[in-house]
Amino acid sequence: MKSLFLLLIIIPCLLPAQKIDNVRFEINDPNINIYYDIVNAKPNQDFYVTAFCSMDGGINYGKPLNSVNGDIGFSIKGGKGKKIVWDVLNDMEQLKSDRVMFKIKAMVKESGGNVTEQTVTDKSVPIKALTKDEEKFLKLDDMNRFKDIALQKTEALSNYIITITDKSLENDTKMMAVDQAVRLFQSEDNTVEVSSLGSTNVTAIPVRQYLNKIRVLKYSKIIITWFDINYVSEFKQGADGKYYAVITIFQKFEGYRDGKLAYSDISQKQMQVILDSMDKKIGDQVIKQWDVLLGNISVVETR
Amino acid sequence: MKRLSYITKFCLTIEFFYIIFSLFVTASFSQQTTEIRLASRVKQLDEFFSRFNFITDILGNKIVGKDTAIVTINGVSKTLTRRLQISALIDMMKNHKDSDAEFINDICSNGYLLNFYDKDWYAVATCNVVYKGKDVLLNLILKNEVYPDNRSKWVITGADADFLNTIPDPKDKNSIISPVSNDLNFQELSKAFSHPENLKQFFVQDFSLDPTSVFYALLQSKQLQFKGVKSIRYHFLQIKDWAFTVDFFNRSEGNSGWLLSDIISIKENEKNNYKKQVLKLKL
Repeated sequence: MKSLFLLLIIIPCLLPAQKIDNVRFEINDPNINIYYDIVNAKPNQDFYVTAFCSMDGGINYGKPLNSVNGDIGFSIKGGKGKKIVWDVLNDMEQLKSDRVMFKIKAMVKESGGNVTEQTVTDKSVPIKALTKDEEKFLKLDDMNRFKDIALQKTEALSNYIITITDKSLENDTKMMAVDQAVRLFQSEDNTVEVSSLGSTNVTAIPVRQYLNKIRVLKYSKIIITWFDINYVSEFKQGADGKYYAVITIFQKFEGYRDGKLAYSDISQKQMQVILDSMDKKIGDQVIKQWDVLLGNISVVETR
Repeated sequence: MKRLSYITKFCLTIEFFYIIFSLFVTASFSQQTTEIRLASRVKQLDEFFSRFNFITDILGNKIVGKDTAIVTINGVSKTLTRRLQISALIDMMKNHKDSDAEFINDICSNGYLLNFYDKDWYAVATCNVVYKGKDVLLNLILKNEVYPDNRSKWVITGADADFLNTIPDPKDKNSIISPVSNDLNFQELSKAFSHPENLKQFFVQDFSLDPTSVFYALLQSKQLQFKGVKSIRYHFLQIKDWAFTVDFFNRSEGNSGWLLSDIISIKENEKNNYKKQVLKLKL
């Protein structure tokens, strides 16, 4: 208990020769490894080490780094090649500055039992440029832009569906429209729920199968219209790193036989939108590009 | 908590219906009426949150104002309050309780908001499954698991169905593992397990099945086939002293979509009981 008490009130008292030296770092995304040496330490000396980060070239350092492990904290012995691992994203949302500096403080208990608080030495090292992979997180402006793109893709799908169900067009043209429409989706595994008036059952079928199904519906004329109403949810980031949203649209389907309306329904469709990033190489640089893709479609109701 | 007077409650209801009525009385064509009706429907849970928090109005327009705002719906300018907007999120066909008005009052007085990343709200999905060749219903209880950086995913936290936690009574109540079986290398276990109809006899008296684990095992061994989700009900417990449910109401009227279906006044220390009894969660 006594030693714990003394440990808690750490009193540094280094001989002038003892110092922290050779502070350096490396980015090991998402961590930063910080290296340092404690030179000229006595064999049985225990140091209490803390690390700090400045984003403004050393003017302000703030509180000690929190999410750290390695040669940090109590009972650190002197020596070379000490290593601290900082889990950056646990302490902050992003680290972006070209004036990042680290500071290492080492304090040691005086021999003889006297306890005084004193910072013995510290060392700052400027870092040219330390930027986090900011493309991992989308900004609000980007979100709004992608919402617009998502709506455009939904409109494109609507137009393809009108082509696919147009009985006056050649089958080759309609088949091409099916192919183009499928390319809007994340994969051929995406499904579309289908239902019909008077039935509460819905079945999920692959998107290509759905598009081919509506291509060959046995009506002399099909009119599909989309109400000028839609609702786009906010994008939410999934555990897989992709962003997801849902667009709600309302579709009116009218099927005619011999000039007479044979079937009609209004359905609310929920369309999943997926925002996925991929690395694109431009010259020597690799940049992240985001792509908007359609996902599964569910039918909420049919009236 | 102040109780709203009957007159205040009556006025709130009248005000709501006046707004809804004004949407339709100024519509010239049935198509326009249909569009307004579809737009006013609460189409997604996101939209429910947005209206509940007084961020957007019933037509999806952004609201400027914390509790009161002037909104223009179909060319008609009206004063909209958060109190009124939350009233419009209640299923009008349900039996109204005095506590509904108290709930709205509490929400508005304290400025409570709902957030997708809150803890303590759950989705109960009623699912069609096939078990032993029969179509049966099963409830899956899901919650949104949130990582520190707000990435998230839905995860199954419970399963509930009669067939998942029913242990049939033993056919032969005299079938036992004898008191000396230990000295015989528990040979009797072999015979015991060859009669699954008596299994309950060989377990502790208070033995019960964990439905979620049974569901997991049945799925993994493909003894259960998932067909689809029939309906979803959301349970919200994050508002202090309240629990409420949200269901989807498929109606042609303006009061449709995701709406408050039940509002319960509940003490904070009773919420665990709610989770056990209503959500069938193992705590």
